[in-house]
Amino acid sequence: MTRRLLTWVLVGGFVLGTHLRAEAESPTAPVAVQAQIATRILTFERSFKNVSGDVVVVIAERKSDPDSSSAARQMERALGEIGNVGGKRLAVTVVSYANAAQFADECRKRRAVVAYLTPGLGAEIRDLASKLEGTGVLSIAAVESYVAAGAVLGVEVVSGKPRMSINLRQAKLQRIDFPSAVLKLARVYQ
Amino acid sequence: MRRSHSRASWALTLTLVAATARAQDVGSILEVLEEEVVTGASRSAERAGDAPATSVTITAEELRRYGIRDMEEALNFLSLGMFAHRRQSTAEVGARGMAVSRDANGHVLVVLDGMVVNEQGGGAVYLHDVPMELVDHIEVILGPGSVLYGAQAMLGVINVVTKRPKDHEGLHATGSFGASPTMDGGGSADLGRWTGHDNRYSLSLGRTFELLGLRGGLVAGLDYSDFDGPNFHYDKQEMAGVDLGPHAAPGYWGGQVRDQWYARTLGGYTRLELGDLTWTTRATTTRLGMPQQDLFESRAPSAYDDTRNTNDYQLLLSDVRYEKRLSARVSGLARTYFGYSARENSRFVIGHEARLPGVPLGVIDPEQCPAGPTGPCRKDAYFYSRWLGVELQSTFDWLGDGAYTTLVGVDARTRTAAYEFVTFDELTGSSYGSDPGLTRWHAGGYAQADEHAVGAYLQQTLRPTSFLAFNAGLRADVDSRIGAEYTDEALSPRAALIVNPLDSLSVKLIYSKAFRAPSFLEQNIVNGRLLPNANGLEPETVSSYELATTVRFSRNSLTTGCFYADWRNLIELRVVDAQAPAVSRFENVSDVRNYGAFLNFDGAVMEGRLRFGLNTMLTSAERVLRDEQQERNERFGTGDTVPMTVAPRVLGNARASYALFGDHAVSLTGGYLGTRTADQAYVAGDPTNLSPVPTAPPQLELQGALTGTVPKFTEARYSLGARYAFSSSEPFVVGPNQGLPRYLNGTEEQAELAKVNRLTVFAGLEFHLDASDRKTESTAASASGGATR
Repeated sequence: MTRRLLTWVLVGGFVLGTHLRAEAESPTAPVAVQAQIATRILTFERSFKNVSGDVVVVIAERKSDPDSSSAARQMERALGEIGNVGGKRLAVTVVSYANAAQFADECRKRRAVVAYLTPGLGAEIRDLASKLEGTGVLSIAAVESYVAAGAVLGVEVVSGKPRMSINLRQAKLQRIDFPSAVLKLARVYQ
Repeated sequence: MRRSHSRASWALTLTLVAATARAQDVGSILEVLEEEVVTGASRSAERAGDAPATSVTITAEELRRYGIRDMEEALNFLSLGMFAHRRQSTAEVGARGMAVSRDANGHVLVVLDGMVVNEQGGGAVYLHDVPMELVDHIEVILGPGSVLYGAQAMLGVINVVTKRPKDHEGLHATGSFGASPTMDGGGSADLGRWTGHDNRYSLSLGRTFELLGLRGGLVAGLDYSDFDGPNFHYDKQEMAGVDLGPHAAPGYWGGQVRDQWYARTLGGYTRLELGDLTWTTRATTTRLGMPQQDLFESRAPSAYDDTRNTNDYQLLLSDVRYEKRLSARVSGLARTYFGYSARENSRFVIGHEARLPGVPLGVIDPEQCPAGPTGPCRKDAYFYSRWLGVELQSTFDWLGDGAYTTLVGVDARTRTAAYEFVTFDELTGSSYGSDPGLTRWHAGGYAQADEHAVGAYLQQTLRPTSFLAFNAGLRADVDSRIGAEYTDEALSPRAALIVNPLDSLSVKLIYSKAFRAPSFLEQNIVNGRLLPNANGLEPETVSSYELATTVRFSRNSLTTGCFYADWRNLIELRVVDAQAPAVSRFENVSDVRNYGAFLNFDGAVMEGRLRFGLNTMLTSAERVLRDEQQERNERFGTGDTVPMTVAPRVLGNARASYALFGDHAVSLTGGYLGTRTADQAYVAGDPTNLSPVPTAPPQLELQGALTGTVPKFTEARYSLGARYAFSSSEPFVVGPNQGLPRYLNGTEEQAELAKVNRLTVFAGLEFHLDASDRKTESTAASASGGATR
């Protein structure tokens, strides 16, 4: 009886442990809200007026991560519905994420203005941040905790309302410059 | 050269002005940041403008800024369309101009972190079970919500969400102390004597951690509230031949109340998160005393203002859930939940009712205290329920982009409910017995039942374009409390068409239906004064049609709307025999027509330093009398409708707060409830013999507060404030004169109404130790000028 119980506990623990290990990350605010904030804040970025042609948004999708794929599709659709920013057309591309260097190269090659970092990239953020330095790309995280690690902008829901987080140090490194009126609305990581 | 300099400087100036104007004009961002994100309406996070219901969100910051200390204040001062009467010790909630008195809030569903708080025997829910210090935000969702929640979500859903571990990092201690002055016979405050107190204490912690490579978090807390009402006075009402103890004159009910107005709740809360797994538990124990003698006590003439009359409540809720995305298009949730509730009403009786000739001691109605040889007796009523359930839910995102999603779920629970009336000899402790075979009148006095309920639901969301969305759902419940012939009444559909012609404008057209199965108590409770209903009870239903429009501009939003709700088969106690003792029976007594219009405005100026808001609702709720009711009351000129009792036709609130230097803020909020017909003016729609018709005058409550960080001690916050009620009456009849249907008893009686605590002055302190998140927040706030809400 005891052996049988022990066996069940071990099997149950193994199954639970297996599933727990596959812990997922989810967007910390509805993706549609993140898209709205991303496109509205973009017009306040000081170099935005210099963007010629389309506003290119590159979405990093980790295909092995269902949360990443879901957020990527949702963001692609939400931006498609918004259509344009400050009179400039939004051009959205989803790229399969392999590593930070490859993704940064994609951003440069496509002359990206925004990079959307989907869930599941938590371990990559620091590396990504260093690779995006000097690019002028606004990196927007689906998961707010990525901001502390090196994404420039994140959105989460606090007390039932969206709240922006901005990594000011990383913003400067990526040549992103928001006016103080915008910073006043955000939780700022120095 | 000079001219070109001039042109250049003009161009530079214009550029600077334009840039400054653009930099300052962050209204487009604020429009998004100020729009609430709700989860309660469709059980997924979405913008309030996209949700298939009208709702308002009350944030922890608002609770703090306005000095709100409990759920009643939160509803009355900050919500749209929902209100709570304190009824001296237990709040009764109503919404959209509709309230069902004495339903123990069984027509509203309270959800705490996904757990239904309503107990499963009578459906009762008490607002004191919400851990206020841990509240992150409260979504007040108006209108029927059974489509995803099942029974009882008729008036609306109060969805309480507590703080996440990362937002509550550290150790937190709070203490809030309130004092109230004595009230004289007219209900006016006597500032010379302060005999009431209202104190709250809490201790809580939040931690985030990593375990086995998984992110984890813990929030745990203890809370204790201690309310002792001020001394006040009730006028005397005659009770010939009855002795109500040393605090009353022989033969009379009424006089000074010193002891029996109190409420004390001790609660504990934990939420443990590990990866995708969350385990939440809430437990409370409450003891309260209500100084009024109401229907229950009228049957048991309990000692007046005696602390030996008690009402005890215990509640335990526990929920383990596992939530996971299975693929890019499919996500799932599995949870199991458990609940236990116990309610014990105990009355100390000195003056026994006369012993019936020929009836031996022990062969009694379980409610009766016979004129025994030994002395006083105690009449206890026990109500228990426990339940265990499993819910499985899955979401299918057909295109993978959130545009076409299907939510399906099944929620099955088994529950046990019981009640018992027992009468004890106070001196010997021996029971007079509650054996149904020995009871005098109708059998009963005790029942227990094992019941089962299964609900299956489906919700389809369609968002073909950014300006059009459609949300439709259907839930079917099979419940052992619902007879087979009524199963179609437990179908709960909802359909919402949402149009967003502009980003900042949304128009909603909503149809929804909800039901409430007869509770275990309504179906089973039988005693000397309550007859069984041989015909059975139908479920109550409500169908609602609503149109709402919201416009957002910068920090401001304006919502207007109107609704019509059709209530059917309301279950209430109907007096069937007015001869002493009066005998009642639960019946499906009537239908109600309920309609109204509402307005909600939220705004801020001066970069958010000055915030203000207004909620108002104009409503009508009329009980439609059935043919037999019209006939029996025709001679009183009653007509075919009567007003719903307790609910006001006009209700609302307004608020304003101003951020002073540092993070100090001063605020003023007011809640208004229009004239209300008292509960016993009509019994199940029949006008009673209370004359004049008891009516509570309009109530205006004002609350002012000053809050902020204690100077030179950034880990501590203070609050100072006062709440004042302009009227002294609540719409609840107290004392033995409870009224009887006029067609059964033409003798006029005069009613007295329950009292309101007129004035409370309070001061509070909060300490946040090891609050690393607060340090971060304060850095952010200082960097941001504290402009975020």
